[in-house]
Amino acid sequence: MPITGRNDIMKNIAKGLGFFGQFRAVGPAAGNTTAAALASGSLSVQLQFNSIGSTLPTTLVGFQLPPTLSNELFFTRAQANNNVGAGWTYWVARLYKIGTMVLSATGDQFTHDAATFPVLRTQFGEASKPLSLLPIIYLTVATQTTAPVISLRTAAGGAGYVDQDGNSTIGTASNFTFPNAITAIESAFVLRLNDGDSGVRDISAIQVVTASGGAGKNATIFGVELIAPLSQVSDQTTYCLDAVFGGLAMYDLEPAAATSGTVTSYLIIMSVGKINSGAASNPSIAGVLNV
Amino acid sequence: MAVVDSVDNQIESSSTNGQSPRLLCMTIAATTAANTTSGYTSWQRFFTPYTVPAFGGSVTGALYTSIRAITDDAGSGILVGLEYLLGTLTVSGNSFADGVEMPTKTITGASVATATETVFAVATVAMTATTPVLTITYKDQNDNTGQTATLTLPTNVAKDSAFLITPHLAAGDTGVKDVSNISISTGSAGTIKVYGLLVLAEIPASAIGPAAAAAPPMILPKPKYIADAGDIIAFYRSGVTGSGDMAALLSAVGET
Repeated sequence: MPITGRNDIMKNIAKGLGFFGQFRAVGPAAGNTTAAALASGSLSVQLQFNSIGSTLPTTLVGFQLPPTLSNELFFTRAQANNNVGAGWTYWVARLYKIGTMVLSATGDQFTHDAATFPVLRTQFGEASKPLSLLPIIYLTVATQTTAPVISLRTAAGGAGYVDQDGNSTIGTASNFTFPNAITAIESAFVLRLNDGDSGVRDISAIQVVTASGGAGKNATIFGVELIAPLSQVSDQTTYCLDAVFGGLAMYDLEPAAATSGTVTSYLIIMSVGKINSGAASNPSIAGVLNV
Repeated sequence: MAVVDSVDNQIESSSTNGQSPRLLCMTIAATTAANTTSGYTSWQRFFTPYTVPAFGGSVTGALYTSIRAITDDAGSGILVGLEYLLGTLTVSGNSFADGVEMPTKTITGASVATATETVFAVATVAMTATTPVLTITYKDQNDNTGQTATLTLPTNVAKDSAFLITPHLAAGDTGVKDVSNISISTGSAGTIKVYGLLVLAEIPASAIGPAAAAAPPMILPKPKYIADAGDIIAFYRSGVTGSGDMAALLSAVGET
């Protein structure tokens, strides 16, 4: 029987029908990333994965939940420390891997993962409703010589993404320019969408208009589902979010399902707004099983 | 008087019965890091837990309304919980001794048979064993028996290293009610205890080391556990493996 109120939440947690985890995250080393600019989404993004098991940026491990749950695991609370500095915004977030791309050659350079998007959740009573995701590009090899310019479209001018409303969309030409000819490994940026668009259900094509120098300059394309903000206005503080009584926001910690196939996803900390100083966070995340 | 029911009840209990503050100081030597087959996060268990004392007057239980802790490693997190020894394995001889089952607690006025919110395998005596496979047979949160969790531990685990079992539970499981067996594939020395916890407080450390957490019962969305006399309150530290210190201040009001 699904949770119907506060008492159910408390009893379920006490019955072991919940989850509590305290993690050690790892992100880019100090000074290792390049700040965003206006033409590269304006927001510097850092992705922090589970420290143990991850070798960034090639081997990624997210925060581990209990294995193979059959019901929703609703987020109830989170805490994190801020060892980095004032003005950081952390998010508990889930990354869905949409695909990979090459930046060192022009033309259609995006390869979609095997899983079929959109990813689906029950939303507002509608089962299997597509999720709108924030598109992030994550450099797995640094660029060189020339700052790449990309477009969310095919080289022939065809659609490159499906927007938040399900419209197949031709991205504005050349609307994303990497901030530096040498944009550092593990730098991450929000991909610029067309005016009026707020997210993507899928990405189908990315054209490299201007290529990076060198060879093998690669990036991973993620769609991000934001779960909980852990904003911090000053450093050396901890921040706690109550998702039950402090503004109901009991999102499902379990990954959304792909339309078909199995999507690769990671539960992580995503920080937005500043270049990383090298310190990682220690988040704790808790949830309750919807039974 | 149910002190979990309202802040006013807690205040009344505090003024009538007095609160129970307790300062604890503890230290730990370096421990062994976890890996992806043994919990995904490194944990340490401070080996001097606190035993909830006998109560006086009309007090029948303790609600810990304030838990604050300081540790010297800014890159860590602190976990405080009611701890239950579910089983013990003596490595030499692969010998299992049963512990207790997770207790019954009153939650929002109803009697609830609890299961672990989080559960650890702790080396309480340093081990001599090369990447041993630890198998824990347990009863899960839904009373299914014969479930198994399997961890492959690092070699020669140091004393007080704690390994999170939760990621390695059987598919679909979220908690443990009881442990019926623990076995190990190899090893000549050491002791492993499986501890189940009901979480009282979680405290991320901050950059300057001191970390304070309140366990304000009416604020965080988590069960408010009444501790019984003789219950164990244990302290764990996550994310680090170095030696360290912790000081904690606990304060409780009495359930009557």
